Amino acid sequence: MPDAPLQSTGPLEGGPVIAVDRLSVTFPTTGGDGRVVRDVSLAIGRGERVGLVGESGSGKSLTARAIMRLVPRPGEVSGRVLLDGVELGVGATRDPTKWRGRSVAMITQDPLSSLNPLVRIGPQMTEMLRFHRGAGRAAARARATELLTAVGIPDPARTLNQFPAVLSGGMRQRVALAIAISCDPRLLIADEPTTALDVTIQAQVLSLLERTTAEHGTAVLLISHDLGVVSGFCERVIVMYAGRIVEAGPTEQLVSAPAHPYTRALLASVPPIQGELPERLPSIPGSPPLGGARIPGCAFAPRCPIARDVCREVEPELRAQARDGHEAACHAAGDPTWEIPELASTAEALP
Amino acid sequence: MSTAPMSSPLLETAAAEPTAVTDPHFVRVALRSLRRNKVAALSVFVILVLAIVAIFAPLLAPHDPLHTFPSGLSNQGAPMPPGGKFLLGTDESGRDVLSRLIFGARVSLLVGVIATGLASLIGVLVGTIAGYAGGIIESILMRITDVVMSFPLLLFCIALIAVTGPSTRNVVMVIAFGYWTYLARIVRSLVLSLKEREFVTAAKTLGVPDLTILRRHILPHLAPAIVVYTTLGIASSIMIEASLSYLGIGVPLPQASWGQMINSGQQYYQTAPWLLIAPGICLILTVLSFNLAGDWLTDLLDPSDEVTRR
Repeated sequence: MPDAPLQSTGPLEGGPVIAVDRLSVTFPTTGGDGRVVRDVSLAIGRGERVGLVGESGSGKSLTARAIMRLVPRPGEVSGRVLLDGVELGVGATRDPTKWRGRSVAMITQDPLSSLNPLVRIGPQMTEMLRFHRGAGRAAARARATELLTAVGIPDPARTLNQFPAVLSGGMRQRVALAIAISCDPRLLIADEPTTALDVTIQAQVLSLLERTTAEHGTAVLLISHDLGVVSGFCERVIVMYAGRIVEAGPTEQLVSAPAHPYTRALLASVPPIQGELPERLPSIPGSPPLGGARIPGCAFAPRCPIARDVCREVEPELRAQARDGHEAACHAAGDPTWEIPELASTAEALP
Repeated sequence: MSTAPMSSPLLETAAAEPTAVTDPHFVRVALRSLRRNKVAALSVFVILVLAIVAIFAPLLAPHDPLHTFPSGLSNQGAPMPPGGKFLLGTDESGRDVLSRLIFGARVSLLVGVIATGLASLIGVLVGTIAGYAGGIIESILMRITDVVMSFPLLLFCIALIAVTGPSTRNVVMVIAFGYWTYLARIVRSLVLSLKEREFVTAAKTLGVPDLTILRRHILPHLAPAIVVYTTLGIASSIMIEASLSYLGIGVPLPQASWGQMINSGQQYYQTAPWLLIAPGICLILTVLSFNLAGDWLTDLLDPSDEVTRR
């Protein structure tokens, strides 16, 4: 882990940039209670990089959308999101155009579809500069050129006049990043920003993301299903399962000493970079519960190798663990009476 | 035939982007397609000629279309056949048919274009608002659309004219008021799918206000559909205008209009068939050309394919 100058791990200095307080997202369903995100609370400090991991359907993207207040109808959001101590969506922040893009920005998974194919790069970049900053046509264009240079696009003046279709996937994600950081947001939510890219471009985009956000002390919430990407990039990791946070903590600790069996299983299924590849990668048996299904007890219990009766009856609370800033929602965590089977590859599996 | 050993699927989809009106090479693409499609080329040519004739009618018409020539009637008071001073003959009042046709083109095109333009404006506005806003606003707007749509278009126009009285302006208004519903429905359904597209969400996450999103990210995608349906709409509007004029409640006399020329000519069809044939051919050619041009534009712009692409 490189030590960035703005790093602030664990307890937050000077109040968090963003504080999410018991955020839930509910969709009306016939079975279950339809809560696909359950009581998610998290806080991110200035310049901090936090990863949110979980498999498909774990509610990680929906959490991001709920923070942005972009949950599609008929979804309902409860809980509070505070940006620098100001609750979003209430009073002065009722109009989302006042803070979206300006204070909180987001880049999405697919750079192909997040750029309008019929609009040239220039107008797509300048529209929010002109709106948020009141910049004139020429000033906005100059800033756009500057931003494109900053994200490493070789011929910015020419690129501004091009349509997204002419650019490669990596280039487009750079443009999307340039747009997202153009107003120096306090928080940047990156929803699987590298999934659609191949591995070399992935690394480039991530280091670019790191550099550009470090410059302005922008906090980053990186959403990914790839623990490798997250552990290389983030200071803290939050693991979600079935709409709940099951474990959270500083990256190193979470990787070296995971407290939740789900995190352990996730880590075990990452292919090792060194040494022999096993015949079959370990996988987690079974599949996660369908979104919003109501299960008594721990949602992971049916797939958990160490589950006991209590797991199927009582839902474990998210409890602080022995070390600072490490939390887990598991009955077994920190309890020496539970036998925890040794897993072959954990810490050394990750870069 | 990939030259690059590791071509990513993203690069391949990039090659197949929509042909749209906003494409900078659109004119070149259109001209190339016209060179291949002779029927479309002919219909576009007819439309262009018609437009020129309509615009320069006073310069092109050999006579005053309203003047009743004493020499335009035979000794028995019958219309003069084509030839000589009157290239396409005269009508029952001794007026020059060719001049009336030329000025009639003006009326037909003017009514067609303005009525359809108005209809498109209303249709796009209603469709966009309904599709983007959703909820109760959508329900109200679309139920109004359904009500207007449930009347047969021509009967609806006749009823409205009966109330407002025949005049060129009223004909335009009535056609526009009857025709906007079609585009409203199409636009609404397009907006419904467009607003779920990723770039609209992306724009929202950047705090771009709704009006800007509509103008910059939604409208350009509607352009193909609007162009196609407006072209087809002009054909329908010209037909409705002709029908109304034929029924004597369209463009009022003595102003020349093709429908009304057909109406007054039909009683002489045995002795003076040119009174019927000349405006009839004009009408058929015009409507056919607009329809064929519309079909060609549909293929060229492929609006349905553009939206269902993803």
